[in-house]
Amino acid sequence: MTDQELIDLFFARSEQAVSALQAQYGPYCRAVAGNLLSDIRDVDECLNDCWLAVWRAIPPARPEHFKGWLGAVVRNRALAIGRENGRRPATVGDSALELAAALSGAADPHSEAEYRELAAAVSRFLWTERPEIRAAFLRRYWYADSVEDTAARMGWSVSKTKSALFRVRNRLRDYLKKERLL
Amino acid sequence: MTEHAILEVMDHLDPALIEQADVKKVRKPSRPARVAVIAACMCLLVVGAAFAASAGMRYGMWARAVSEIDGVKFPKQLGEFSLAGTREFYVVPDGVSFDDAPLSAVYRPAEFSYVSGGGLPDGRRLTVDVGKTDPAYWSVYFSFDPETLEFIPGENDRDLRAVETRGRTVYLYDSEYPDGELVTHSAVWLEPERGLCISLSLQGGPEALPDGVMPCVELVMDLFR
Repeated sequence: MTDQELIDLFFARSEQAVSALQAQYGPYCRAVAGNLLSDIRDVDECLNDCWLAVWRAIPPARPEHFKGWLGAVVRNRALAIGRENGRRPATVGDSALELAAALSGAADPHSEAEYRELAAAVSRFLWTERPEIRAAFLRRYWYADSVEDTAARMGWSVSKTKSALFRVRNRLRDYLKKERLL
Repeated sequence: MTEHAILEVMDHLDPALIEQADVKKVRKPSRPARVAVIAACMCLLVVGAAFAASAGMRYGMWARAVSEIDGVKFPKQLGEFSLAGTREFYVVPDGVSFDDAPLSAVYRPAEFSYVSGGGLPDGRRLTVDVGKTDPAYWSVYFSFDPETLEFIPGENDRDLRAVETRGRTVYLYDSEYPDGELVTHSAVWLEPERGLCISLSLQGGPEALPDGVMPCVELVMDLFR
C-alpha cells in the first residue's frame, strides 16, 4: 500500500486505516519510540497515543512526506512521555547536549515561530550536506542513536563517526552564524 | 541553547530529511582487491558479491569491457606484466539489470588486470582499480575517510603503513582471508590533480615480491603524469 492509499483510508474514515498504518509503519514507529523511551510500557503508550493523533490529524492534514511526518509525531509524543515520567535512555540527553554545546551562546527560541525558523535553517543546512553526513547527523540528533549505533548503521568506524559528527556540528554552527541565527 | 530547546528544534525539521535518514545498518563493500578476485572468477556478472554476507543494503556490479579511463589508456605491457583484461564496473543496488545499470550506477570504477608468467597458474596477477573521486561513493568503494582523506583498513587487512613517494601518500597493506592464507599485497593512493583514486593489488605470497609492491606503484603513477 502506498502512502497516498494509506492517507486515503484516513480521509475515508475507514476502520482499516489504523490497522493498515500499524502494519506498514508499526515497526518503524516502535523503533523511533524505542530509541527515546527506556520502558516498553511507555513505548506502547506512545504508539497508542500516536495512532489516535494520526486519526485526528488526517484529515485535514495530507502530509507530503508521510513517513517523516509520522516519525515526527512519534518522536514528539515519545519526548513528551519521557519528560513526564523521567524515564528515557541516556542517549537522548547526551545527543541533545552534544548538539547544544556546539550551538552554545544562542538563546533559546521564545515562540513556536522562532523554533520553526531555526529548524528551517537547520534543514536548509542539512540539504547542503552529503547524504551520508546528513543521515549520520539525523541518526544521532533526531533518532537519538548512540554514536556506536550511528557508526554501525552508517558502516563507519566509531572514530570516523565521532569525527564526522564533530565536523558537521561545526559547519552547522558556522552556517547558523552566517544566517544570523546564533 | 538548552537541551530542551534543541530537542524542540529538531522536532520541526523537514520531514523529507527524516525519511532519508531511516537507513538500515550497512556493511562496507569489499575492497577492490577482493572484488577483483571475484570478478576474475565470474567474468561478467558479479551481483551481490560486493556486500557478501551483509545483512544490510546490498549492491552488486555489472561489468563491461573498457579500454581507458579518464583519457588514460593502460599499456599492453607494464613492467613484467602483460595486460589480461580491462573492465568498467557499474556498482548498482542489487537487482538492477545490466540494461538499467548505466543509469542506476552509484559508481563506475575501472579495473585493469595484468598477469606475469604468461598467465600460468603460478604466475602473478596485478590488478589496478581506478575510480573518480567526485561521486560521493568513491570513499566507500576505496575505503577512505571522506573527511580526512585517510585510508581505512578493513578487518582482514594488516600491517598498514603510509609511504611518501613522488608527492603522494601511498597506503600499503596486506590482505588475508580468515584461513590465514595471504592473498594480496595492496597499495592505494590519490591523484588529486586528476580527481582519481588508484588501488593496486598484487596476488601472491611474500616470496613472489622480492622488491615489494612499490615498483609497480611507481609504474602506474607514471601513467598518470
